[in-house]
Amino acid sequence: MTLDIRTIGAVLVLLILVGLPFGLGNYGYYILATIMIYSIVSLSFNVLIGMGGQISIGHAGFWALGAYASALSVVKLGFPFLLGVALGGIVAALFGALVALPALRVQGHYLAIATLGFALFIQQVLFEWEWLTGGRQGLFVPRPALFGVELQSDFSYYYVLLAMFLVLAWITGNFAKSHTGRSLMALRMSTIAAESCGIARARHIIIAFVMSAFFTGISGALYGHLLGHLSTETFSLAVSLSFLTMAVIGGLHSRAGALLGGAYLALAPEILRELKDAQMVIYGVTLILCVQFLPGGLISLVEKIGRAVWRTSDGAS
Amino acid sequence: MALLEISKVSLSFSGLRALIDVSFDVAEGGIVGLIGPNGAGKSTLLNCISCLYRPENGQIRFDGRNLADCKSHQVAALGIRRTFQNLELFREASVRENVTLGLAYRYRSPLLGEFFDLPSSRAMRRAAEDEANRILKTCGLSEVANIPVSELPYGLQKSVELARALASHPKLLLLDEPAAGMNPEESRHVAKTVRRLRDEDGITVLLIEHDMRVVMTVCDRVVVLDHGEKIGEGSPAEVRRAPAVIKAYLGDEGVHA
Repeated sequence: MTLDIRTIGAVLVLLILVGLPFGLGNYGYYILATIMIYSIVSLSFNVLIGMGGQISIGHAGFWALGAYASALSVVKLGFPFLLGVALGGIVAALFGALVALPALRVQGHYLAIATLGFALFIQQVLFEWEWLTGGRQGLFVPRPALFGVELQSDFSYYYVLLAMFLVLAWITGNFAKSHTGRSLMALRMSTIAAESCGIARARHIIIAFVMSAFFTGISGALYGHLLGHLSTETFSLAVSLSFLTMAVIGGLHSRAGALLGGAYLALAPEILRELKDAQMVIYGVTLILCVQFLPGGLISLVEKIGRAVWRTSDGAS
Repeated sequence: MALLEISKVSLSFSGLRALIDVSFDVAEGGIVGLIGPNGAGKSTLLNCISCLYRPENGQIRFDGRNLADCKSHQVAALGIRRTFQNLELFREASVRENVTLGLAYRYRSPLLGEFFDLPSSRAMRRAAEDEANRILKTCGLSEVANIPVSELPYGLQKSVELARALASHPKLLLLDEPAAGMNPEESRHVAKTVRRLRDEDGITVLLIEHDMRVVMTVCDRVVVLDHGEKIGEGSPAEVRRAPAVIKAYLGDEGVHA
């Protein structure tokens, strides 16, 4: 056999992703769409935490900025959907550069608190800025449209989102093998060693935050067009925390892990709906178990099983 | 001409004076040994040169350029590379990756090219990889190129750190105890390597070392520090005879004995 397990895995995942919506109803399409949207956020944590070793519990802020920037540009300025989404990413990226500034000085808990403050600040400003954002009433967002054709169903929107995820996953993969990406990982492994190799810490930390914020901004923009209505409650502290949780549970060093994280965040509330508030216990326990026993996230478990199956089938043939 | 000029450098840590008015030059193409008892301030001085610490007083000039406003990564780009007493490696990464990262900054391509993996960026990566492979070969590390550094024995890890420092063809190499933890045969090999770097590649070397055999055989000048002060400088033979040096190493009895 000349094919390796990674290629087979990737093709398999792709086929599943393409075939998934068939046989589902409107609600199924909607859930699948949210999986893609969350997975993009998860990718952004692959860059920020997985490669850069930075932390953020303020990603709801970037998500909100992307969502509002896109929605407002489409509603008030008449931008086409795709341009609006791009603008959402860019606005979030600009703020990403701003949030990187404290990261150049503080790490760990302090950085976490700084990013948290940022998200609360963004949420509050969007809420108070009533004439622009609609404040309490919120903002209606038109359906996504491609080249003048409105995507009425989440079925077709899902494929747009899937394409979006694949493009960003591709970029993430390229970045991971690029010199800049590897320099970023070098800084995570040993800052002193990296700097003594001529790697500029500030530049790379800023790139990590900008990239991560850009991805999350894109995701937020796409989410706004899926929901059809924005209000600032959507971008609470709880969202920031569940983003972080999903990224860790899925796996911070893998694009497939990002997908798994997105699926977890979209599906768990559906599956555990009956448990109501007790859900939080399950989330907490899953997170602790993951950090304790699966530092590579759920994806590392999948990979292990995949390898085992591969080996036994190889041995049998 | 002096490649590195250290003039009246002082630094203290919360009252403890680690360096007091230290001055000396390192000539281009020279091998200078920095010796002294533990806590004499040798590593502190190296950290000042590589801009990890900033001297409170005095000046360090490299190639005629004042390093006062340099950041540590800029110093590296100027051509000063170093190794560390306790090894600073990218432990989870392979040997090849460690060496490649040592020269990656010189092979940078525009960020957008890297995002989309354009041919220009791929060519840069290949060029860096080729260069790294060349270095690995000359350093005798080709066999272990794909092994994570953390799985190598200590001696090889030191070689990797040296290879990484050499990867970018530095003008000045700072070595912090290159022979520490090595047996006599390995120490001789280190001494030979340092000489070869100077003779064949024209690299100027400033090294801290406790192994006197290495210092005496390889250095053409030796600077002695004690309690943050320079107490001697000269050829290895001169330094060995200087009373102040003997006193610092052996105590008062040594001088009279």
